[in-house]
Amino acid sequence: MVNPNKVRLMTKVSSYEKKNKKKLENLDFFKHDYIGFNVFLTLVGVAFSLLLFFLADLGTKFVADMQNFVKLDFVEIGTNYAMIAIAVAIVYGILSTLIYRKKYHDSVEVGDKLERMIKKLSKF
Amino acid sequence: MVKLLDFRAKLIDLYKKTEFLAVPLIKFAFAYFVFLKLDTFLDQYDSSSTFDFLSKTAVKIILSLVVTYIPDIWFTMIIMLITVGRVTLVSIEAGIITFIVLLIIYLLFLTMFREKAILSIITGLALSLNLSYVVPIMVAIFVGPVAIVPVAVGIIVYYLSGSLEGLIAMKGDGLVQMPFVLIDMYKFFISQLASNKIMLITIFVFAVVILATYYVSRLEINYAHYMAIGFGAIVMVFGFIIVNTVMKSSISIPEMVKGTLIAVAVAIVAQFLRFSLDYKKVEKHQFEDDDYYYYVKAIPKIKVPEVKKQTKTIK
Repeated sequence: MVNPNKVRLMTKVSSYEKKNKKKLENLDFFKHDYIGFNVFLTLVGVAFSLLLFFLADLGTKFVADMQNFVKLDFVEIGTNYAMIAIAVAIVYGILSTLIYRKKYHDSVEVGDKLERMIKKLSKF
Repeated sequence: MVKLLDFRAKLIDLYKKTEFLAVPLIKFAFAYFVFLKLDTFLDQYDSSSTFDFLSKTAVKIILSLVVTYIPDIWFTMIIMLITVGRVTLVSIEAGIITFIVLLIIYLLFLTMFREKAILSIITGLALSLNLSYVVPIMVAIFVGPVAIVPVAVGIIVYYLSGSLEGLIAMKGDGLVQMPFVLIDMYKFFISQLASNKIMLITIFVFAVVILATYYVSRLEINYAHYMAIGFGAIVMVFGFIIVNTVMKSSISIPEMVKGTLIAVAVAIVAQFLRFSLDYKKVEKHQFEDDDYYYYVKAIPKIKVPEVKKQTKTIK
């Protein structure tokens, strides 16, 4: 005979699982792997964006004074770019670590709740 | 009040019954409206309609249907692609710069907030409809401080879109001139970004409003959510007045106050529909387990009892 409470709980579990599919997928990774991978991806994006900025800046310098472009102190320019890149990378590294840690933590909470619901279901 | 609660209950019941249809329909309507606005905006620059294909209603309907069933971040990307595509056909240099700027914005800001990318579109749309003041209060209550970045991106993209006319006007003659035109465009863009006071003020005040509203809504006081809406509105009004005076900007204060009042009304309705708490029936409990001692304050949600229809049989 069909147990209405069991059916109700099964529907609830299924709906919860579907609603939080993305968060549950995060749990396929270990915490440090998940955070590390996403921070790495963020830093790759940041590096690429900075590269575009630096190229544009060099282009501006080139157009401003074409004849003396080769006389520019490229070591100093390079050092400045490196300092900016390191500062931005540190800020983004910290921020993205905090954000992805929070995301993983949220996923763990979702996973725990789902586990509790499944345990309850298994008691029927 | 009872009538209001009854209306709320009926509305929620109707939503629950039609959720499978209502949610995709709302998404579709929203996507279609966004594409329509984008199209109207880009049409003014593309006078020769070189990219007429995307202006067709059928294409917009198909795109909106696709957007209904894909993640929000893809919606953002489709908008980026359409914008870059149409701008490129008017001016290749402007297209390249637009692509680079949008790519940088995506890489620097949206990669970490993929799930909240839709907020950037909503903010841009709200700004174009003069409803932007609704955004910070609503996102503070429904999303939280994490929404600051996507909202700021929406503001930046909206105000930078005003520079498109200037960009398109900077056309070069042939491929030889292209690098120089690109550099000029880059300098123009950076100057626009740094000198747009209204954009900077809006980002700053909206961020403060989101934080203030969020933190008040989390306080353990009665009617915290409604108080947060009021507090957010006060912060917004005074924030804009102070920063506007200090930075000598040209934000219309009466318009802002009017917008804030609309924002308060919308937020109160949204909060009422979200949940209503019965503060007269607050329960306080204290208990302990092996690790902690708990102080719990439980506030029941107001629920209207269902009226059961009774059938009288008259003999």
